[in-house]
Amino acid sequence: MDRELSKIFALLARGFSYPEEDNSSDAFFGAVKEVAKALDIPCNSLSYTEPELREAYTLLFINEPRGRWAPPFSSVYLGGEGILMAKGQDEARNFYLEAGLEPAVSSEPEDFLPTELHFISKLIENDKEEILSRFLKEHLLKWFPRFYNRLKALEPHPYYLLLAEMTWKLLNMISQEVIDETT
Amino acid sequence: MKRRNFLKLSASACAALAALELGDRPVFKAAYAKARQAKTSLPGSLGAKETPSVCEMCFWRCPIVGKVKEGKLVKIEGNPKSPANGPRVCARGNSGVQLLYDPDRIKYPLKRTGARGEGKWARISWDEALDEVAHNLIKVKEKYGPHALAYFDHGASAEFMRDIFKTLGTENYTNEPAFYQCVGPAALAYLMTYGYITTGTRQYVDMKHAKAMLLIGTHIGENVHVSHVREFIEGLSNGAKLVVVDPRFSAAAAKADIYLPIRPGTDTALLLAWMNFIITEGLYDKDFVERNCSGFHELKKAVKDYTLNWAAPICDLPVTDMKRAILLLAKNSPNVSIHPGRHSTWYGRGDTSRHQALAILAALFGAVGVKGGLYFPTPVKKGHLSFGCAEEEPETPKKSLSEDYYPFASTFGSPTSKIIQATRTGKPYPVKLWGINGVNIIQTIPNPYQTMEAIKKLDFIFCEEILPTETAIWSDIVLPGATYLERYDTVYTYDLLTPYLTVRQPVVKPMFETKSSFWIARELAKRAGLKCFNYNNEVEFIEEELKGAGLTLKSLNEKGGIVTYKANPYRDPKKLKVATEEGKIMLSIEDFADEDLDPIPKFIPTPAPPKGYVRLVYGRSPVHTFTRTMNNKWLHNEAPENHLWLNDKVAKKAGIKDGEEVVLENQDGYRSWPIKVKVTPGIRPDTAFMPHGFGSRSKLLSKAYKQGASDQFMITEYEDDPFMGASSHRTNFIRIVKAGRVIDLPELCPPPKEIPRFSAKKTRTGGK
Repeated sequence: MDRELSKIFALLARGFSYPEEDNSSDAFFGAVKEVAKALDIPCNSLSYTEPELREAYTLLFINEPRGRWAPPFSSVYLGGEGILMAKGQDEARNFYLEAGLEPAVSSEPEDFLPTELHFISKLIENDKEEILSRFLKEHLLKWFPRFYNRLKALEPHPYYLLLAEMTWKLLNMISQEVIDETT
Repeated sequence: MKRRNFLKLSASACAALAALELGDRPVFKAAYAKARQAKTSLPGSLGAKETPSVCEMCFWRCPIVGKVKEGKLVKIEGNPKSPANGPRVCARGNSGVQLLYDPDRIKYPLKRTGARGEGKWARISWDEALDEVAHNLIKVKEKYGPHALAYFDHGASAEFMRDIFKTLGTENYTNEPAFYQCVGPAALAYLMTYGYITTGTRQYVDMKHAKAMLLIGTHIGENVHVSHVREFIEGLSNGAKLVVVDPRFSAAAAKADIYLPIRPGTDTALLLAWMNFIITEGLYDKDFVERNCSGFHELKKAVKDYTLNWAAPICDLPVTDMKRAILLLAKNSPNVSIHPGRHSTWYGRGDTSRHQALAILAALFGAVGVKGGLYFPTPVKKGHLSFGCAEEEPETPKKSLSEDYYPFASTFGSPTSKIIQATRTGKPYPVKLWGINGVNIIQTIPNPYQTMEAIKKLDFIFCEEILPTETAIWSDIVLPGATYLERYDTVYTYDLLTPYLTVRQPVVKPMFETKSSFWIARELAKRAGLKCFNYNNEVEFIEEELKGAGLTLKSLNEKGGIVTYKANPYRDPKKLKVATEEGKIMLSIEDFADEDLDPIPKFIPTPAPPKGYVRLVYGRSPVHTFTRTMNNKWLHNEAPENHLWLNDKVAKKAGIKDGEEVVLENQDGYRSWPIKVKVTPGIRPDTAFMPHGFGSRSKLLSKAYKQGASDQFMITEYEDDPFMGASSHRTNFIRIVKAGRVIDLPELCPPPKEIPRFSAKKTRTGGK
């Protein structure tokens, strides 16, 4: 089960990454759909083209012409400054280092949502339950709900709303379990 | 973790997950032992790695030190070894951190997916973005000829891409708003009078050692350049007297010994009357003028009818005050700073002449090459770079947008107004592609409505940008530029009173997929098949430049990133030789006469406001630069919006209260966004003032959007300077709209008969 759970977080991490061939494929959408089903989240057939998702992704997570977007970086939501590379970045980085990890070369700041979801995947894979518990409680769950609410208010593309709903539900489930266990 | 039973996965889900190949992108790696060490407990910037560099929050370029902890910039300070600013930076310099980490930044190359101006994009790869720009450059050149390409640029880093346009052969390879919307007329006037650009990026005026200073419309203290402000303040601290001529009681006016609240548009009348006065009263420096100036007799003749009594009703100033001011300056000559001004594109006609008059006044006082006067630059030696791009000027088309309209335009490129006109009309030839770098043209060039109309007619438009400005929103491709904190630029030398050499270098890695201007230009040239940019990277050419100064990047950094030199600003007036053709200071400029322009300044009145309106003038907020910093969180917190200064008597009669929110309507019926009114006796009744740069129309700038009103969107009427084609910015008039009702403003200072009244082509009410 843990192997699958780790893979589900890796799947969500890729889902929240910029659409490319590997995360806009039928196989990828098929896996998303199966996981959504397991989470009891209704979803119709997922059939999107790469250009469609690219435009939607740019509007939601990069720059949006109406100024209504949901930056996928924890620093924007934590610490009150509303800027990148702030408290969220420091927190995320410290958790990564504690787990003996650091992000491989990436153009995004280290508190990028896909990086944080991938970190969960790694923690599950490596059985680092205690760090996972604190990472969720002290960091991710402090900003993800704000990101999720902001995203929902934007009436986003249904695919990204689905991914966000799945992530939210899964985080709630896993946090209940690991936080209860370790506290 | 063995208890993950909350999620029941079906066999097909397991199979789907198993089949996915997600592991081929390493997101994490094992952390190095060093990185794993406990974080330093030192607070703030203590223990940070320090990298010397050069600021670019404005274009004064103060030497700075970036302090970095764990890859994150935590603080910016002035470079303590800098003789100009020392450890100080201004509010903007401090706030570079907030530019670097602004979540609104342009992060990746973007391609427009909606209509121009809509701001809908999709992220694309660098390869795709560069190929598309290069393809369009070649396509437009082949279809319409090289001159169909035009480049709007600002700042040192934009010069790399300028070389591409020049190599492609367009005469429009540089159209700098820095000249055509700012220093152009002043730069030309001083170049022709003294043989060097006494005012351009820099102002070579020795305020620190002055016994008296004259500022005409110059707002030092509101327009903050650290070393310039320091010299001004040091001069005042040393006891210098100050004369300020300005329709508004500015920060500098508050420190003046004599303040002259002049009628806007009449500064040249005052200067001409002053020149006549000191000539007829024998208060000018006869020896200096005889030895070093050419054209004195022509000047004397040309100004003889401009008396103080003549100027008084025109300038709306008492004769006694005008006389007191000029006597104060004369008494302290030659150690007087006749400040040459910087932003000089005010009224179109007469702008070059006004600055020529200032230049002449300094010469009449002998205030040149002496302590307290205008001084000469001290060039700092560095190695010459040869990028291998075209060095010769492109072939001029049959009808040039530059020299065929304005005889002295080609010194600075092509006038922006002519590029926009040619793009809109196709005459005298079509312009079909714009490249833009380092300037938000829609909030900089007069009549943004015409600029947007022109953009709609282009085949292609691209820009290199840091923030999603109005200009980015109108572009087909947006190339994400690295900030000054993330890149190298060329070696930078400062040739003022405290000469030095330093270099801009990255203090942190570029964020996201942003790239340096040199990298972008080099890649673009390669794709366009141009032989350009011989160096593989910035460090290669920086080393070459430093070699010429006997340095390497390593040795420069070992010296704290800066090397200082001895200044040579002053000259013996008996041995003065300037770089004009005659070797003398030109009080009458024959080159102007050869082009049927006035060789000596004349007073040309600029039309007075129509009844019911006041003239709109503008200036700077001391914590902001152009429209570039309004989205910066710290600076936004300091000055989030601008206010309209309105005279207290006018406001009372019009029923407008301090702090009330109103809308402005200009003489062409264009309306502003809401702006609060500051009711004050510190502005003339025929004038209103607002700081420039606010009222952003880009919703992508989450902090700047719709904060205050944009002066630029009120400037729809402009005239070109007949010498070099700069466009006027103070030829527009506003009245007030309050709660939907249009309020005509009372006229308390009617113009004299010498000044005609502005008549709108078609004055209409509201709705735009």
